Amino acid sequence: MTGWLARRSVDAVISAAVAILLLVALVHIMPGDPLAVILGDRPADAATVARLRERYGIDRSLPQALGDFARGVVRGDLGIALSEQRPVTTVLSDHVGPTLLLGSLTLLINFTVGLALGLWWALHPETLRSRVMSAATVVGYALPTFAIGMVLVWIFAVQLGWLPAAGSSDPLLAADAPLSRVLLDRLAHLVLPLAAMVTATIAVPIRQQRSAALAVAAQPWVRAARARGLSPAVVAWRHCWRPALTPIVTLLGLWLPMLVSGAVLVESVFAWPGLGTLLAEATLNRDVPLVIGAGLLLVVAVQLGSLLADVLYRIVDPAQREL
Amino acid sequence: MTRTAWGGAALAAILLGLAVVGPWIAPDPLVMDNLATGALLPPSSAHLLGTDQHSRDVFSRLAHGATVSLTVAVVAVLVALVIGATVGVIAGAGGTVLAASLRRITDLALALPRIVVLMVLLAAIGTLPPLTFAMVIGATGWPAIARLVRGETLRLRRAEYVVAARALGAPSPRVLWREVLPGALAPALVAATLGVADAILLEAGLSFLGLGMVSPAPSWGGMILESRDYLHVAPWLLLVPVTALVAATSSATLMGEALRRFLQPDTP
Repeated sequence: MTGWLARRSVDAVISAAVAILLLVALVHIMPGDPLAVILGDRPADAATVARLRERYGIDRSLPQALGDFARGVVRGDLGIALSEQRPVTTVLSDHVGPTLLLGSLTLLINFTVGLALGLWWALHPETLRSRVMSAATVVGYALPTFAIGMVLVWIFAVQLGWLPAAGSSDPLLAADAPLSRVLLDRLAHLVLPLAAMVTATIAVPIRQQRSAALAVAAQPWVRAARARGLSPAVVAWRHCWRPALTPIVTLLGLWLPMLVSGAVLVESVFAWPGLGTLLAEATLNRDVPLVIGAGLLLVVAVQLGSLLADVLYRIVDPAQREL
Repeated sequence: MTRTAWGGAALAAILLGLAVVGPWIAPDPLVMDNLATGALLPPSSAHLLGTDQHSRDVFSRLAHGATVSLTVAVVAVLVALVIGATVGVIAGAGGTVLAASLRRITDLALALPRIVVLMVLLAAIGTLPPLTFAMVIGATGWPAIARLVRGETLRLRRAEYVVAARALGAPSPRVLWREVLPGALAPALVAATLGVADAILLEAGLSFLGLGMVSPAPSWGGMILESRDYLHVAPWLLLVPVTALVAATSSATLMGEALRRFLQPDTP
């Protein structure tokens, strides 16, 4: 296991490095003058332009740019964000927390409620409710996250006035407010973004768990368990569920890219102060160092997720360990 | 065909009708005919779906937006299909080094969230004209198709009819083009149909962020973005484009699922 883990980790690091260098190279060869972004409409003399070109490393060749970027990463330096004139790493670390909160709660709900619904669906194949579920998950697959978010805002914030429409906390809340008030306020701000994220993504685990459970239910040992007179609940939990978990672990690995895409749009809808909103704003401002920094973080997260999924896969499925 | 497939096809027909005929019968989406009293009017016989904050007809914007959204989506998927199929076949049948490196590149590209790649590109270049934008979306969609086609190519290379063609002396490129590719395309076509929904969502999402189609050009994502400030007085500005968007993506998903059941009956 340790030998395999070491090989797999090296693989993940190489993949992440190549992916991010590809992104940097792509940006480097694209047309578009970063100086236009920095200067805007302001006039500038030749000396200033030359200094700026030097400072932001605009005239470097591709290998030079890649080398500088790689050296920077090793030192923990991702350059200066153009729009905020602060180190990219500082800006990023300010925004990681809210994204992790939203992402991990979405993950938690999807992999508890979603899996339970999928299993239930597999065990009750031909009922009216299961047909409703089938239609709902097909539509759910296709639902645009940001559109759900906007409709939720319209219903619950504008029409009913129950929940706040944007942000992660009330800026008018007194600094010395009791802890319970603060927590309640945070929770109220969390409900709508979380609901939008879950609605848009839960169809995938439901459908995956259903098809996995259906495949397992056709196995001889399940029929044998039923023939021994075990109750349906025992058959479902003891004999169907664990083998039906294997494909779900694979799903975990594919999960992070999906969460990331959802987060970019949902966070923007709700002005949630996380990486998604940051990435959208940085792109609008054409702040290339910041966008690349956020990209690096996401690439690393995705590689970590897929590594974790592979490890879990070997734990859940003993047959994998010999390979 | 099942009922759901008919539903998907009917939705698609309505939207295509809107995209093709709409711009001819609807008034110009840029006309602001009555700025003083005509803004934010609810749906009526004069304006079927109401007017927006600049007194522009919402139905016109929806119809012209349909043309833009659907064209962008179809072009993007075609680009993804062509690149993906080419890369997939070569990765499945090419020489060892070439095939292995293409496989690695595909896996890497799959691990990058499409929207992030697109945002990095848009940050570097700025906004793009519709057709270029569509091709860039397509250029990020090929890895999923390449992986499917590669898998099928590997499987089909050992199929009896391919071995027979080779034994009859057909040159390799001909075997790949005439025998392997048509068989390997079935799952790719399913993925491409489902991919139309992704492309529509990417275009709408990026336009919603102000990065895709930029106002005053009509697009569904842009309409949703602009509806934000008028939710309390003019909710139809949000509900109309959202309905169209959900109809378009559901239609593509339903037809993709139907196509999957038709082309690959043995997959669940």
